[in-house]
Amino acid sequence: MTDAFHQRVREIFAEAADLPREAQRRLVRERAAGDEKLQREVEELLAIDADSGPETRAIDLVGGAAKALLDEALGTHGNAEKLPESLGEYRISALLGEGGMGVVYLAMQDQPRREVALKLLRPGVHSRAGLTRFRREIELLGRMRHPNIAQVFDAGTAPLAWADGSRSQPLPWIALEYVRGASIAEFARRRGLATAERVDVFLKVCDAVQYAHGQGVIHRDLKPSNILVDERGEPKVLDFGIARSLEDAASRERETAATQTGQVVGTLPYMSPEQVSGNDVDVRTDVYALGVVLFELLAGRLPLEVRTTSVAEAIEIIRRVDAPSLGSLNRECRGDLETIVAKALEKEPARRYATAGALADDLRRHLDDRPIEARPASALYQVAKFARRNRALVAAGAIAVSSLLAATILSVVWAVRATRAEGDATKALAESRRSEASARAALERAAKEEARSIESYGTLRDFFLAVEPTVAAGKQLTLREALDAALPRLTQPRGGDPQVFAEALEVLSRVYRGLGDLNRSERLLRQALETQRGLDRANPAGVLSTLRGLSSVTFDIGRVDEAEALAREAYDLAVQADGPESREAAKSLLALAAILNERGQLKAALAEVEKAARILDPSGAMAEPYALSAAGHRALVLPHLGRFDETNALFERIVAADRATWGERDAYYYATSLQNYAFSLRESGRIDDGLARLDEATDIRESVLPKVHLAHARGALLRADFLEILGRPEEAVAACDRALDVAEAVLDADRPFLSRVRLSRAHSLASLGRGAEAKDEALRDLAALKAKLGDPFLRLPWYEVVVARVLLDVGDIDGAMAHLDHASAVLVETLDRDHYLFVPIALTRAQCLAARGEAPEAIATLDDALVRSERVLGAKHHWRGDLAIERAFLAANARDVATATSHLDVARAAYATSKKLARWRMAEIDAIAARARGDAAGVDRACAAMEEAAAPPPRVRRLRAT
Amino acid sequence: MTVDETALALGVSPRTVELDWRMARAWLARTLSDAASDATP
Repeated sequence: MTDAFHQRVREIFAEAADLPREAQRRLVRERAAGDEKLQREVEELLAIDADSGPETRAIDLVGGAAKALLDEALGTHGNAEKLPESLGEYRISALLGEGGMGVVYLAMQDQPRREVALKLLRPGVHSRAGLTRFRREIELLGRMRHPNIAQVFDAGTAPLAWADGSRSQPLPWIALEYVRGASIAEFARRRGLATAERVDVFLKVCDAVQYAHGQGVIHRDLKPSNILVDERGEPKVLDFGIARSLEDAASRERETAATQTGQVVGTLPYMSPEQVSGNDVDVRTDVYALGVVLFELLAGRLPLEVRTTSVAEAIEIIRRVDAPSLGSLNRECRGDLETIVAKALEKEPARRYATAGALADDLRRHLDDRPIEARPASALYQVAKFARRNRALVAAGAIAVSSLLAATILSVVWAVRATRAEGDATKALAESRRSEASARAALERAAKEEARSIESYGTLRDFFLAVEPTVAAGKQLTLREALDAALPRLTQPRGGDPQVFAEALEVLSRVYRGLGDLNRSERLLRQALETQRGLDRANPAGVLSTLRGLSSVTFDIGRVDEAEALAREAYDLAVQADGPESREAAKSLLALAAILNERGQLKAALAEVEKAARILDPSGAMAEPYALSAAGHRALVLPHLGRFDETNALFERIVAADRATWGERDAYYYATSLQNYAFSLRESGRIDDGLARLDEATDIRESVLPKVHLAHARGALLRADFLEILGRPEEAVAACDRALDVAEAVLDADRPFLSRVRLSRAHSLASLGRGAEAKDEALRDLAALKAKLGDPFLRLPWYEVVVARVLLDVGDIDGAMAHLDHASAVLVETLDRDHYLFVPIALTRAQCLAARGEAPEAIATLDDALVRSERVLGAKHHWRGDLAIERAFLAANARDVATATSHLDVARAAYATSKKLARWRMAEIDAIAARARGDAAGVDRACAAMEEAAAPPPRVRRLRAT
Repeated sequence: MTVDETALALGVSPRTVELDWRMARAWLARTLSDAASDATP
């Protein structure tokens, strides 16, 4: 579809929109004049407009939400219809104007007696910080004294008063010099000024702006209606409503609504490319606006006609389309003036006049017939610059305006379509080589279409990254629906550049992954990979990144074999393309290491991580994302090897670096590191520290991710294991149920993660004496993990212990012992006899032996474990407390008070590391001590205290048993 | 931002803003419903 076609559709739509049905039909038929395509298009759009379906309502909802947000930021404007009587000492006589920022009244001041323009800021625009800045700005503006600048008299905060005695809330106000006059354009027209006379008046405006710049004030909203000329021909620049000091601009403070709306509420035809893009503005932004004003003054029309276009089109035009040459509109201006105006209107600020003064100087040189500084741009430069303007269409902040929102969604849907036109333009270029002018026109068209496709992609990327949960803070539901509905269309292969299409698919996949939809994320990546592989000359970096992404998603889904194959493929490809020492190869090694880790091949995983880290982070400074990733992978493997001190120190650095690298915006990464840190702290026995990290991670996750996301399930599982350690198995079961709820919504039923959660749940059920409920499923899940991940897999010895505890709880002691034997065998074979997981194995084995009536063997096992564990875990690990309790219990059964007491001391010291850990355990220690003494009443009292502190029933039961 | 405020900011009439919005909305609604029916085989 061409622009002309769109334009016709738009015109006819506008004309017909509010007519009755029949009249609509007649008018459309008439206007289309036999163009069936045009007629059909308008009729369809009108029909949808008249009869709003679910889609229309969804769009209104999105638009409405954006509008509500903006209204909230702007505040509502009550009492607008009735003219207020006064404000402080000013008596209000007329309404001069109203804008996004506020309202302007004509008012009379008594002392000194003079007419002033009273400008009021809209309520809600100002925060406390905003008011402080407002006062600072006014002070600055009040210091400006220039004959061609409307003077700022005074400012303050006061309520408006109406004749009927009602008052508004106090509003910030500014009293400005009231200028009676016509806009500069109107003035020049009415007086019929000659070109040189127009330039003369304009020069005074330049001087005024130059003066303000010297005071550190940028106007930001220069336009003819802000430049009034009085009877004597003296121009005055007014309305510094959105001007802010240069210092403020330099400090990039953008948090106030006033500034944000200021960026949106400029006056489009006079806004510079950097201003409509939401980029930083400086004095050269005013130079651009001056250029537009001068152009209009000399040519009688705007350089770029954007008044009748849509907002999105206007922005595109301002950013990409060059103004026609002034000389083509006004022959008198050929030569110097044309060149000067063109230089002021350059898209790149760096190519404009550096100051308003420089612009004035060149104009004076022209009037004096001296050579000017500006040079006409070379043809080569004009062609080349089209290629450079490929940045994103709309700044993210502008999306809040509903019409911009619509435009953005539209360009998302249009995404890659525009590339088609490229072929035509190339052909046109070849055909028109004879004439340089037409060749340039063709090139321009090609560049424009190419830019549009890249920009559409950029917009797509911006839009989706904006919805990406790390940014959108859980408010994306409606947008999600829109996205889901648009997806089939977005993923249809089209005629454009397949490389761009593949990239778009990858971005989409990232978004769906962020939204927690792993399966859709995987499908999109597979399509991207197919697209890339279909290319003659595939871009290896693109394929590699897709392969790694795919490996990571399939890994998260739990298809570990596939994930490993993909990671290895990525590695081989990277080695082929860039060599084994390349960064691409190292990135693939990290993907591989994560998988080896999951398979329990810890030493191999660590070796790969270290190899990758030598390439990605040779200095160990974690200064960029992949260096950080290398450190993160290392910290993922180390705790499983029991190297806790090293891991915890490493995590401290990682967490700090995460905060520095990702910051608030991508807090999700920081939260993930915190959560991994929490695991390491827990394993090393620092329970309270670990819980604090987990709580922080949970808060962040819940504020940045949608409700259904695998990360929540991982967090809940980690919390469940903490709760089990704290002796709160019932709450642990509940946490597992939460994890399952989320994970089952994201993953297929047979995925390893779900097995891990169910096994943790079974463990806590066994602690509650309800192992029978979980036994069969626990056995199935353990077998499933071995089948999916290999035997061994990560923490296999631990899961063997879990199953053994479930079996012990249901009385299957031989079965339990068999699982413990396998756990020990795996430890010895793959890690080390003294690997820290031997502790829970020994504890459970002792419990099994005791249950079988083999107390001496149980005691020997515990004594051995107590000695070895001190070396591996340190004296105060809670597992040592568990061993000591068990040993004391056996001593108490034998009425061996001395042995019981000494072990209870060990237990007390271990549990004293955490108040949460101590809860019912101190009562249990008392109960065992009483049991050792044969003090039945003491046992009863202590057991009651245990129950009071919600100890798991089986713990109490065995102490009461005789 | 109301239609009026948008119009003021853009230097176009409120009517133009309203009609533009309605047409964009209709276009988008059609595209979304097309896409939705594409999804069902």
